[in-house]
Amino acid sequence: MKRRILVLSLLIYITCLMQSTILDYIEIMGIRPNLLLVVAISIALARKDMESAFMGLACGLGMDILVGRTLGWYAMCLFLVCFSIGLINPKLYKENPLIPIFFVFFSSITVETLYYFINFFLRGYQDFAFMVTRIIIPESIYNSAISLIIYPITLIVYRRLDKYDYVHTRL
Amino acid sequence: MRRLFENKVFIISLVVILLFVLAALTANENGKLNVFRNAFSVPLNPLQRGIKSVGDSIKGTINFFRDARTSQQENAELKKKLQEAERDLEKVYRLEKENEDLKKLLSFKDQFIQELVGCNVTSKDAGNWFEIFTIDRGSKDGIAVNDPVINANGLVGRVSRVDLLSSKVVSIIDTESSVSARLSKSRDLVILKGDAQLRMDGLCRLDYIPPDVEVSVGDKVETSGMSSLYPKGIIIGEIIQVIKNEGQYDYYAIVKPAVDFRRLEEIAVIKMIQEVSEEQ
Repeated sequence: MKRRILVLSLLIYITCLMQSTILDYIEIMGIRPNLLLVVAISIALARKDMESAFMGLACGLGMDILVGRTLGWYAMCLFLVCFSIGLINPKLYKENPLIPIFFVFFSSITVETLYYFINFFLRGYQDFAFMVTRIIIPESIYNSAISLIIYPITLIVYRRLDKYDYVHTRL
Repeated sequence: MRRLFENKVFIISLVVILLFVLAALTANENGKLNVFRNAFSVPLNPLQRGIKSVGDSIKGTINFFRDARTSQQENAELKKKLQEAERDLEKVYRLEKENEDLKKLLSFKDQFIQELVGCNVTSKDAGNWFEIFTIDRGSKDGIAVNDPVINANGLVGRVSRVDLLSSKVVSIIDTESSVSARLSKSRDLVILKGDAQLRMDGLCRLDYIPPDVEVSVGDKVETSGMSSLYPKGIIIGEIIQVIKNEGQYDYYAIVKPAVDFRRLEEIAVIKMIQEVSEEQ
């Protein structure tokens, strides 16, 4: 269990590091993907509801700290979205490669729209159409493209962890 | 009680309430919850710097060939500019001396004693919503919240959060930022604000221009020194478009900042020591 927590926090930490450094070089037209969101959704597609909810919470807190505004909004959005994905994921056929693309796309739209409502709409900025076309949709597309790489990586990490636990409980 | 903690709805609502409390505690920029952020950002900082320097060197190698082609022409231009600048500099020295003498004569007080701290930008904002970036100096080097940030071209923004080894800077084009500004030519006071749309192109807007003030394209804008935040006379940028709406009392203009926010590398934080000089 300790090892599991260590590995997973390391995973989130490395993602945070990449989010704040490498993405400077690969952003397209000023839009960059949200790696932490993709990692959280990939985990939520593979695990049970409560575990994925708390992993979403951790990823969201990391994102909040990186952004440098009020802590808690990304954490809350990702917590709720990951919980709901965790609830429905036993019904999904996970080998289908379209599943991560579909889920990452729609949860990016949900999370970023919620974030817009909290941070812009409630503060009196109302040009929703502009935000959707210039930020939310491009970012969601970019996120789902990135998920093709990140989803297999998170699956491998979890498979390794499970295998290790399995071997050590038998000993 | 045990039963309660097995109920998922209860756990979810508890976490959401706790997150609201966290948001309320950290909404203030001078929040006392810094320990939490420090634990996260202090180990992140050296790694960020390392990756940034490797990335920049790779980028530099790629750009080397393109730069080699343009450098000759640029060199000739710069030599010409340097000659002009040297000529101007002598005039500036003379004026500076004169200014000092006259200030002494009037026992004119300086607004602030300032000290510059050079910093590197370690990372730009992580999300797509704001124009906040991270610099590699923090409270260890004496940086405080609300210190103004400049670079060689003009005003960049202000420090919004300070960690131990790094701090966050809000640029003037961010939606949250507003700067008390002055038109260099007519000396009228206006307010410079970030705009959620213009920010995408690196621009910002000049609000509340009264109708009797004549503003034209190409006018320079500088800080006014009216607020205690920014010292007087830092260049902000120039007006590129004036927009007048029918039926509205005041109008606004679009300003192109002197700083290129897409390519920020080295900046300087002005440490404000608010003791007014009392030597004379």
